[in-house]
Amino acid sequence: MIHNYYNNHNRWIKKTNILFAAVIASLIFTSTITSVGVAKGTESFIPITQTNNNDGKVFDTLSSKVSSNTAYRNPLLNSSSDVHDIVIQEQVLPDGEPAYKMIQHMVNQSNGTKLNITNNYSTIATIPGPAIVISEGDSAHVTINHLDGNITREDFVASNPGTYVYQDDELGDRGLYGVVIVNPQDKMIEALINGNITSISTDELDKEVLLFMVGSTFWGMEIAKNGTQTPLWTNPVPVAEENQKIRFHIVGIGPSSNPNGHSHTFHLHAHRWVDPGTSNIIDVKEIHPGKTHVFVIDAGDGVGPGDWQYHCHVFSHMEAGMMSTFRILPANTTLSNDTRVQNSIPGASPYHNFASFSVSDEPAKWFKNLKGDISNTGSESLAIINKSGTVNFMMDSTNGVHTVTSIINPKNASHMPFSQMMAYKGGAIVALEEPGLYVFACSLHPFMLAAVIVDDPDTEGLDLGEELTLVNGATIPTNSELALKLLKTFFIATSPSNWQDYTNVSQPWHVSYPDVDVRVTNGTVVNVKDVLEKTYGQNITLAPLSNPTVPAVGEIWIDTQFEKTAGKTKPGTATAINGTTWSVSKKVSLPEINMNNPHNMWTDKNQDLIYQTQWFDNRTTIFDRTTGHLVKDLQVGDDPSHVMTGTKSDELYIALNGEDGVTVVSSNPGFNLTNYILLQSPAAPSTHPHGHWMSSDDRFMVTPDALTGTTTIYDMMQDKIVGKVKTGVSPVAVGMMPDGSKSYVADFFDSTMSIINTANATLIKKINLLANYDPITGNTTGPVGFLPIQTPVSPDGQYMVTANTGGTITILDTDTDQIVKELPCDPGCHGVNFGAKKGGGYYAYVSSTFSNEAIVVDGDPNGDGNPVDASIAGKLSLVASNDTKVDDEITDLEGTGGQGVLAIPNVYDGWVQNLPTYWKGLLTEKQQNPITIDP
Amino acid sequence: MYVYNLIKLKSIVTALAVGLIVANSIPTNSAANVFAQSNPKIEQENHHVRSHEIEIGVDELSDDRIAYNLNSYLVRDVASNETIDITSNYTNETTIPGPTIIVNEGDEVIITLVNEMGWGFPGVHTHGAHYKITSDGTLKELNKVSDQAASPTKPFTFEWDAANGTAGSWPFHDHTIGRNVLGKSMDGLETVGLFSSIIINPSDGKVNALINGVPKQVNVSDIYKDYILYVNDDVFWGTEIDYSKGGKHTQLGTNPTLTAPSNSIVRFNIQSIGNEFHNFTMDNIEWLSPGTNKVIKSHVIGPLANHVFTIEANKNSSYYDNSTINLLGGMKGNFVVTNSVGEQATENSINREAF
Repeated sequence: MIHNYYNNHNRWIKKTNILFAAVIASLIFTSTITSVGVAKGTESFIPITQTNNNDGKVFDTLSSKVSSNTAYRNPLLNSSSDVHDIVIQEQVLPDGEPAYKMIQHMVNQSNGTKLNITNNYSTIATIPGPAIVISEGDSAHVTINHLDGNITREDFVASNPGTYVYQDDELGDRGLYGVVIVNPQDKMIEALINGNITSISTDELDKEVLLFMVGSTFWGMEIAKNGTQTPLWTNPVPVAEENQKIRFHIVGIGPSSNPNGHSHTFHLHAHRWVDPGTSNIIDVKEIHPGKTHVFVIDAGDGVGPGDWQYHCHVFSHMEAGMMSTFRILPANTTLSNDTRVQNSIPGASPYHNFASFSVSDEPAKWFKNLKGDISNTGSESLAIINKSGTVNFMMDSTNGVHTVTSIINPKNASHMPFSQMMAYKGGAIVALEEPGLYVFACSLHPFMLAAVIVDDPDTEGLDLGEELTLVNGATIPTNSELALKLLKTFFIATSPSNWQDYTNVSQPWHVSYPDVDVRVTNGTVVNVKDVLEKTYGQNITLAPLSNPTVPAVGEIWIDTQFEKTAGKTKPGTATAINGTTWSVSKKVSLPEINMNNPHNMWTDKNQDLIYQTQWFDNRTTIFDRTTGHLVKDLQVGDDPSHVMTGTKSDELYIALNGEDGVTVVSSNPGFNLTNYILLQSPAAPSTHPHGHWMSSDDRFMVTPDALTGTTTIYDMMQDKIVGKVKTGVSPVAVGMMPDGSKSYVADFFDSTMSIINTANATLIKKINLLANYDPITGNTTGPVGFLPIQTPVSPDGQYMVTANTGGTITILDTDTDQIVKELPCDPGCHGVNFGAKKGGGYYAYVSSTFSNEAIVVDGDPNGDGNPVDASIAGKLSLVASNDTKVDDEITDLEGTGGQGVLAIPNVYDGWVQNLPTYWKGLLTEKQQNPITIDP
Repeated sequence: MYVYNLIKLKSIVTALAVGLIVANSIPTNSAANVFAQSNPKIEQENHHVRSHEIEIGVDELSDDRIAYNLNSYLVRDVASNETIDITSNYTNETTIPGPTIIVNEGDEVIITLVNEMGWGFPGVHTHGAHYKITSDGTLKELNKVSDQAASPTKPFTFEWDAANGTAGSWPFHDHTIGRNVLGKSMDGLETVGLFSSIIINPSDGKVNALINGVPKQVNVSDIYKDYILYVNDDVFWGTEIDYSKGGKHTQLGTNPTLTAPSNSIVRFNIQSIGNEFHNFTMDNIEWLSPGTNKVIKSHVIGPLANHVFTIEANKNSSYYDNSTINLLGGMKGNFVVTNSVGEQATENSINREAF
């Protein structure tokens, strides 16, 4: 099953493995020519037979990664080499991760005797897999029993000393990896002892410690002096005595699906060692995927005993938990026998109370529990563990950068809040001690959700806890309506079968909730399904689609970010709606570039091109609006979210949600990267801007800084930051008055709207969008906006339309800065932008993440400038019809994932004046000059 | 509290600090008791040549940045007990990076860290040098011994031993990641400014250099300038130490222009902190990959790794991170070779951007 899931990734993975092969081959080559002593061959491993070797599985990293396929033997090696017969087996561990188990290791020694050393290995499957320790010149036959029942065999000769990664091609980032340690024939290895570079024999080693750097977790294994291997699992505490000689093998793993992989820097406190192949003494080393770093230390040399930390020094990885300690005891303190074996302290293991999530670009499965759907709801993002358990995250199936951020946790829970200051590639590991509900999200892509229920098995029902603390610091009881709303949101967001389908409204909207008892405030036990169905209803009839009676000018583009097509492994299309017929006219998926989660769009001044950001990737794509053909695919930086053009220059300003600035790209036709605008002082906390807005006079750019809770006002004329305003938790989008005077910032997690004086960079007012909502009872007394996102001001400056994730649209009167109206929206209500209504006025087009329709809002039907009469003018399908022009076969999640919206022509003040005559001719005089002509 | 002139008093302070640590440790924690025992091997190494007695403050800069500043720096000859005050070699401002400490193998460093912010709990953790677990610069949750950081009312003293085998240029930085005793998360201090370097010169006084394309050993005493280039995700922060001016330290701000007289020997100390990997590259200039005779002109550096090389200044160049986005963001500076030592004497390296 797991293999099937990955089949569509095969091509990509194999391709990158070739790249890895080149890297590793060159590494081996480099270390060979720089090493001192006897000249050795340039191949580390020579495949001697290639039977069954075209499966792309384990040991390919060893054998076929070295190009030679001739039977080569290093003539300098004597003939007394051993032959190893090894059988290993793949198994799935209780957390869903695959792992290798050693079944048999027979050594056919050159003197004719057979030695069975299988007892050296763990009797269970382990991560990392068994370390195969052999000597230079030995050969090995490795048989692998795969999960799918296939058996493959790999053979190799260990022609060079070193530590080499073996790894499965499909699941090699996720447990199916290990190393082969080839010891030199003369046994002599380098060590740093008493500050001097020394040679010692491998017989003098007291212990070997293997630390695999995977995601943001160390996976450990130790090999005792007698060869016994003990798995140490996650972030263990290896233990040694002072002045013992310990060989460390630091190993970088994956992900191979990501061309950049996850790189780490290994640091051990208070110790130094020799950088292999040099005489350089170091205490930090870059560890790249597929590479190993091996060194011998004299434990506590010159520093004495202690709990010495080792960790990855990539800062976000440290924050994500990638650390533990190396405990050095005083010499001779644990004389258990003459070999003095200290028992290292293993970390949390997948065998016990452990959940693993893979982070992916896959809709709904952004955080995918490797055990799959455990609640029978279609959600694969829920895990249940007992108290004092561990949850591990691996960003192994995403091209983007992310954070792993606790957004809900039991009040006063240990290790909470859990987050990182900067988005990154890696993973996270955190111990969850107290019972209750924990929800994690990416703070850039907040619909990426993982829920972990930590249960106390001695109480009735699964524990949700008494009170929950939310990411903005608020605390609510678990029996409150807000807690239920959050639960409901989780099961809708993470299960596509719970999304709204408007193509067939005769089928009511059914949401699958888990039929399970949970324990909430005051120990009350309730059934989740019962209480959610009672509160929110079930099998709800959806309001049917309807076309607005007055047509629009031009066309409307909406990013259907989750729609899947046959020619791509990554999701997402851009959908065009004809504003006259209201039908879906075009779908652009761009299989030739594997367009990944298209999020937001803008257009050039001629309205010929669509500028498309890829939010889970590092690219922004330009395609022809009419033909849908690719014009240019640009690497602009991590997680580009929104793009706008300057009204004067027509240059593109692309906010990098995964970084700390805005990339500037020159106008059509050059499209060269010309600038990168940093949105903070050097060394200041990194902003991670999301949905910026630019003033119509090309003077100010206002960015909502997702990770610093600030909004930055940047002066484009003077090329400097005017100021920063502390707004709220996770500011996500900005709207602006046509004259630039006021900026409106949607603070996502706070559900507030911050109103800023743009030129002064000062906060005018903050509106609580939940002011009319009682979080305990759920009663409302007026318009409510829960988790606001996109929030543009109408081109005439009269009002603002805000899409709120909680399923409402709120209308703000810009004269009074009051919310005057609430309109219904779909779950995950997300994107808004304005386009021209034929004959005058505007429509706001509103998209929703978890439905397949767009809602058309007329904010001022009577045209009197007062939005109190705002109403829904129509509801449009985002699903392709037979008449829709497509560039790829649509296969799944049709029309879903409504995100960015762009109406053509662009009628915002400042942009509308730049339109070509053709487009201007379709607009009224007032639409052509929205703020200079009175109604 | 900060009296350096009387070595006895200093020892008392240290002893008090250790006593407090032991007293504070939980009795059930066997590891802590272990550290109270003295290790004869470590004791032997306490015959230092010089003692560097330094007080460093921690203060806030604009835009949520926090940095070190140098309050005082006394170098004591351990044999004669004579001291030299070199405080005036440093700026008295709070800077990024913080003050660079330059010692020889065989010296010891005693740093008293003073929290001048009125809040928080910053520390110092060094790389490279020897130190006992009581000077790790981490919190008790991790080191099982003590919270090694400075509260607003209580400075903390760290002792580092530049023992044989520790030669190199090493980063030091805050390491109080995690929640501290004051209950306020101090995550991220190491990335928002609390970092600097210690250069430990080898006891034999010689370092490898590439001179006119030929690997050679040069005397440390012949180095004209040390440059620190601290890679901090978007920018290079620069410091230079000019030995022709008695070892004067100048903070160069971000992406500075570095200057050197023609044919002078200069040492580049590249440090890195934060999240990113960078491809440090220089035009027209080659150098030795550390610990080898391999000639290179670029190097990929990850957070907290260091990369040190010594060259003869004879070509103008620029240094940069060879990445499209960071180059666009201005992560680049010049290296300018002036005609002669005499002319150079009037020119400083240029600070492109002040704080």
